[in-house]
Amino acid sequence: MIKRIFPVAYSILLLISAIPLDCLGGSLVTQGIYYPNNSDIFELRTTVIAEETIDLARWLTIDAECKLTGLLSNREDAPGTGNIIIDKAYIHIHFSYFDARFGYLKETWGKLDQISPVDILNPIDIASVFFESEKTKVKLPILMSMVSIYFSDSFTLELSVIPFFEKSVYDEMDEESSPFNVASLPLPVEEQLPAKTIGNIEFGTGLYFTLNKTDCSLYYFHGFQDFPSYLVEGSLPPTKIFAQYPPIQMIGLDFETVIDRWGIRGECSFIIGEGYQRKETIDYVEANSITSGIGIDTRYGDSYFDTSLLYRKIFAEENIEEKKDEISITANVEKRIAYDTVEVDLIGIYNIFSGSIHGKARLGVSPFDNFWISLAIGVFDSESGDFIGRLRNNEFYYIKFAYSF
Amino acid sequence: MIPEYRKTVILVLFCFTLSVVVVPAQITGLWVAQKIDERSKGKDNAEIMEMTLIDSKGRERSRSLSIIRKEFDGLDKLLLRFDYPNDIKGVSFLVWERRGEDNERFLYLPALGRIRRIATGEKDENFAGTDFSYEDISGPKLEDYHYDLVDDVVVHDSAECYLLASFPKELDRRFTKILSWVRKDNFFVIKAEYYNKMDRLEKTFSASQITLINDIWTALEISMENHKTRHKTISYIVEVNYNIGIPADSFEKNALERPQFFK
Repeated sequence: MIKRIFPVAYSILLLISAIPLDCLGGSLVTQGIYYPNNSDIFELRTTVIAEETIDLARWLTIDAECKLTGLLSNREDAPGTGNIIIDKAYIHIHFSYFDARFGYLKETWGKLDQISPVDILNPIDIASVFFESEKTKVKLPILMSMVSIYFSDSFTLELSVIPFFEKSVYDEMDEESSPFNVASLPLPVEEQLPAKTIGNIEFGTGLYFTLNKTDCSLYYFHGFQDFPSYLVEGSLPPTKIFAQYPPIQMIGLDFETVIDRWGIRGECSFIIGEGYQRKETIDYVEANSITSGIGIDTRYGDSYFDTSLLYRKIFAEENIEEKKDEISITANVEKRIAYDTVEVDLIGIYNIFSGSIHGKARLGVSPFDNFWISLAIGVFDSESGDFIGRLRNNEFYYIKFAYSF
Repeated sequence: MIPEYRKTVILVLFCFTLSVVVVPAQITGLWVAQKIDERSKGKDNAEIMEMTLIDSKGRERSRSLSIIRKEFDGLDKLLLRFDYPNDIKGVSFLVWERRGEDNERFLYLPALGRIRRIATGEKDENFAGTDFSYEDISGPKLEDYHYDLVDDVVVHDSAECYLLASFPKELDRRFTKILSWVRKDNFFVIKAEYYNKMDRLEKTFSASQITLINDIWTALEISMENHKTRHKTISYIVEVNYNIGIPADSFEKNALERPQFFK
């Protein structure tokens, strides 16, 4: 990742956007975001993605995607920055009974639509959770090898190895001043990332099977927590805070079936060793948690509706900042009008115990093929200190122009 | 050498035998529907299709699709992938036909990053913003309808046709009656009218440029017009090949994520 390279990155980005686009595939997206309650911040995010798939043989493909992002904002400490990342670059070997991918990958676990408790392989970009409707754009690519063995069409074993840990970020630009950086801390932070050793290699396995038209999966993951837990150590008064990524294990399962017009999907994850911040001190405890969810979805005409109910319990005896029991409801309504040239999306997340709520409404219009204009508003309302509560000042409006070439 | 009169007798007897064996004493709607269903589509086929979507103001949009189909023990599996427009490129749809039960349907959305089992109740819904429904794309199931033969001699586009009425067995279907003009010589549906619950004509299907390709009757151009929205979708087959030995693994769920169909 190359940081602080604006205006060079921005110039490259504009240059690329100006070249004839019929020679490569990808997209050009420009998004203006306004946060009225957060110091009147305005951001202009522009992304160019260039992608190429090369089929070398029936069994061998190279897939590559490069992403160049520029950010302009009126934040005093970060007026402009840029990123160049390999968003996807892998070799794909695929046979009837065997499939292997090596390189920078984004992989999805889980079946639920909005919040997927078992989907923990890739780190994520929190800001994208609110700005992107595509789940894969929320994930950050990581170096991974993934091998799938198809014993039959209804029984697959998958093995994943992630040699180097990558953390999740509050914003793709990883700006301290990002509106989504909810970890505002009183002292300088020293990152203590897991060392790049053989012992710290992350790995996971998935077992997929189908029973009577119900697709089920079992998962196991051994790795590290994607977001840091914070603590102060050493002499008093403390001079810095350490950001640590505790080792975790996850056992998960999911299922998906359809009954007439309804899709029914469910997930459960049991995470061992996650870090939870103690109340009133900068320290954390390691505890286990279980999160399970069930969702239904249906389509009537051009309308799609899905909702899910999620329950999380943290098995911690100490006083921690997060609520030990949480029930959340998510709902999503999508309406497509005029032969898919106009889209209206409404998304809501409501935490029953804390009363936190996030809602987003988006209107998308496609005046011609491959081009979309989107307008959206996102609101956060909460009195609690949970994740949504920490974003309560981040009400946003955005306009986005997206062209796929 | 067989004398000429004996040839004639053999021919007459052969035709008589055929008429006894193939054509029932009384032609029924079900018989015509069965003949449509039995019409040879080949063991497999691969095609590239382009669609033009025309709205009520005459504005056009395009879709481009690759489709492969293969028969497994008399039941079809079909995989379809969008190649254009670019914002839906890679969206793929897989159908496994099932006997006596609902077909299984799977959708792969690159944006979602996973294969999703989708409800069969969506069969009447518009497919990817076109005027065709999911059922039009994957093909109706014979046992899902009751059939009546409305007329056994109608002429459409200079072709002698059966006029077949199909009524869905399920009550909550979007169309309660479909009238189909079925060519007598090859049992090809060259026109169909879809009537809604108010018994009003809502959509009209038509097939043209019906040609023999690899000994299989193929409509190179089909269209579906929605009279309610005055929107029309015209679909052209750019390339089609039959009986080319598409590997069976091209129709497995994991094939939805693969970058190419087969080579």
